[in-house]
Amino acid sequence: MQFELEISLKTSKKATFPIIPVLQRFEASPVYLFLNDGSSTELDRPGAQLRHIKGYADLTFIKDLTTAATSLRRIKIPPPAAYMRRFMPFICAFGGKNAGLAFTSGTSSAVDFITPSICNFEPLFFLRCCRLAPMNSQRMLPQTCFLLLALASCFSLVGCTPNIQYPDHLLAEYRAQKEVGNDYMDLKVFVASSLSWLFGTIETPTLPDDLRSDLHLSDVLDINSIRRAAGPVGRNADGIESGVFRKHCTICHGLGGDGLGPSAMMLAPYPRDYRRGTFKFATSGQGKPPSHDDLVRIITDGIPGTAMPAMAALANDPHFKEDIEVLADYVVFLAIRGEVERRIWLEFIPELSQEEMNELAKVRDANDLTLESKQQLLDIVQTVGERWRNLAPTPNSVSSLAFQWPEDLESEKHAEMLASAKRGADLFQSETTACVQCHGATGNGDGRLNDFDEWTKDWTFRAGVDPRNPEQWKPLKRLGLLKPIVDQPRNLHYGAFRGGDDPYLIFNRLANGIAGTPMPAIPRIESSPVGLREDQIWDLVNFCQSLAFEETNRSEL
Amino acid sequence: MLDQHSSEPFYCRTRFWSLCVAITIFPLIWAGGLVTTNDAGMAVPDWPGTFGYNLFLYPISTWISGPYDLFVEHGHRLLGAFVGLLAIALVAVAFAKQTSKKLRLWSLALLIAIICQGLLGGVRVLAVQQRIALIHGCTGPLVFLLASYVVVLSGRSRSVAIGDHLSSQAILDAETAINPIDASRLKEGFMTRGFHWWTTILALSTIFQLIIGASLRHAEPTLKPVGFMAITHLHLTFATIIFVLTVVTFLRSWTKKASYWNEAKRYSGLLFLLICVQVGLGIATWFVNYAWPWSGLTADLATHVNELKGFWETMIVTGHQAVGSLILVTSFLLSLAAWRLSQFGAKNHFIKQVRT
Repeated sequence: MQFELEISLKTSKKATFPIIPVLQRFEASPVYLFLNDGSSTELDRPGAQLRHIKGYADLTFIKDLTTAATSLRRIKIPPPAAYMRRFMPFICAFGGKNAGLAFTSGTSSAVDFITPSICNFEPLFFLRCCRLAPMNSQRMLPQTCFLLLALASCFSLVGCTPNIQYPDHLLAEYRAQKEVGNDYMDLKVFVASSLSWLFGTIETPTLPDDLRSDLHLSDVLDINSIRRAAGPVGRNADGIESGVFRKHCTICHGLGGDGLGPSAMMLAPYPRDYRRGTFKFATSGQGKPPSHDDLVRIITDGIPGTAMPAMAALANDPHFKEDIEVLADYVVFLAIRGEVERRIWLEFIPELSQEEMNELAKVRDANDLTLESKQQLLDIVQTVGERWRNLAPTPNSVSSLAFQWPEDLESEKHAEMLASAKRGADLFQSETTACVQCHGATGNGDGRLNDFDEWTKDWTFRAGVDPRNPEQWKPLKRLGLLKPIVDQPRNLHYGAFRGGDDPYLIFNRLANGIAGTPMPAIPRIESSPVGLREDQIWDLVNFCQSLAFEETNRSEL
Repeated sequence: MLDQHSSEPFYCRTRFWSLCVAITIFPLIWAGGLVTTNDAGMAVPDWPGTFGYNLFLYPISTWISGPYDLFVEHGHRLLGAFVGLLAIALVAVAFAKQTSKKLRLWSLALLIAIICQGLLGGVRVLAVQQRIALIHGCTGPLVFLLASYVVVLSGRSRSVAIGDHLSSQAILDAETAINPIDASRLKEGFMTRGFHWWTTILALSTIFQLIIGASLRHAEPTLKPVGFMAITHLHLTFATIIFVLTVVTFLRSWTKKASYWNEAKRYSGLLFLLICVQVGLGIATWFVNYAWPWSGLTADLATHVNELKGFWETMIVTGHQAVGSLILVTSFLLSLAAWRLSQFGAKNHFIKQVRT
């Protein structure tokens, strides 16, 4: 039978929900009308618009409909329930191809309602359905709002419990893989098991001191502090806080101190990767890691012009005053752990024979580690741990020359100070110090501007990768590493001394250099014929400080 | 008509209590924002009690003099419980016979939503789940939206009930008879030309923006930097979309002269103001959280040090979140007004004239 059929679902006194566009959705299915006696009638192409429907309707009504169909042009099916109208766009949109239109009225039991599925959700079709349904805004908007939120919640809950563990040392793995081959990747489980055996897990870290008596890491680290810093943020029933590192630091420095926290890519400079064991601002001497006090100072004072905040508020709060000490300990712990991991990849594994590697590739947990490999691992820990022991600030022999700018401008030492700064200006321009090469002739930091940050060279130029070459950079980018940024020498006129503006700290940076950056240590006259004396370095300190207050002193200098 | 007049005190009461709930939810959102900003969500490890005490019996002296995160978290819980009590009072008043069924149901829905929100907060603590904190943070402003909607309902029920039986044409005719000069303007009211759809898109965008912003606030420590950057860019994109839509709706409503556009004008004006504030707060939020990437531009930027959990830092970040929830509510109310304008605007206008 042929007839033009336009079905609309009557929804309320004011609005009618047209289901024709909805029905257009379902293709390749003929239209069936199910009858009371169990038989079904197929509607043969009832019209250009209504081509496909596999629906269920009130049986009695449909039976009447089929008898009268030849002369029928418009059918109005009363809605079974009010909610059908409200949720029809959702049902149709979520149901996708498999959605049937389930109409029911009265007590009919022949209804098979197809459950909507989020997997079938098609936003454009959903919007179309919404657009076609003349909704009563007063009713629909809050409902839509809640449904959208429920959707968002469902999506958010996918993978609700992320697996929290120390991230792999991707760079070390990459370098190992690049130098020797893919076989190294089989050893990932061995490395993870070894580190777990030595340092525990991220939730419950341990120190390897119990494994061998000569390690003495507990001289450097307080295990209670480390456990307070690690783990999830919270407070136990006794009111003791935990997860301090995750609370304050992870967003930038990452869970394992790899400098790959969530926000890392958006920051300039990038957050520090502790695992290299190199820290810029240390007073413990050239090439040495920072002392505990250095770390406490940086954490407390922050670093100007960077995302590293000052945590002085914690130090001043009696409830949180231990947090900074705890954080400093945990930073050292992560640095030691990371350096051990790095050495395992870059020093221990490359020295293995193929047979030994095959053996280690079979390791599945710490129990599979052989006695020999355990001893070798502990040797690495001892070597790394030794670097962090007996760190003390360099003695300051000429502190009397350290002036406090600009307070001392009015003091009796004014003339002496200006003379010192003038001598420092000459040294700044001299070839001995070569300061102008990077900081520029005027100290604006406009000298060398085309080199990359020294921190990244470990895994770029030293690993044979030029980050400016897209092809060479691509594999590192896939690993999720941060693209190196051009190193910017400091503009001394700003007075922004990131490692601290205390004269003693500036002296230390000049005398010992800044680890991991192109800033070298100034050679001493005692060890080099072209070096400087300590008082000359103090002259440079005073010159650097005078630049920060140049406006005040321009005429006199 | 007489019945409607006799029910007016009940509408006044429901309006009062619904206003109380809505007004109290806003500081609750602030407190919730402070909890997130200070990472205080787990400052109290148990729920519904506080360190073994009943929520209401936890010693005030310990609460006040304890750690700041404990102060914020316990305060948030107390305020939440207070809002719940207010919502119970609202339902009790609304279920008086004289209020409409719709108002009663929405009041009940509000109470249920507040209870669910509290339960969600409790689950976040007991399950130690950052992801649930994210959902809790998203649903908070929606409960605020629901409360605001109940306020609107309680204030409008009567006038809508009076005019329900009148058709738009009848209103037009009547209006023309009352005030012939204004008849042309009245017709203009029906010609919203998709204004209500613009506002709907705007309102939905604010929801997505809310979810995106909450994802940034509650970023998992395992989130990859590239993922965080993508979310940040999405946040900025939606901020741009919302700003443009706000300007469009603002201009479209404020160029209308008919009096029944006033409601839309008020909301769009407020929204425009809030968006301007929000853009400033957003920039400031990034600055106090992550500093400026171009610190070498000026001496001030180069020497600036952010203070962790400093007063202004905390207030700026929390303010950005709280203003976001206000934007969400305002945009939905604007959308509601726009839809009403397209469907019932003339009717309401007529009713007001009749009443005056």
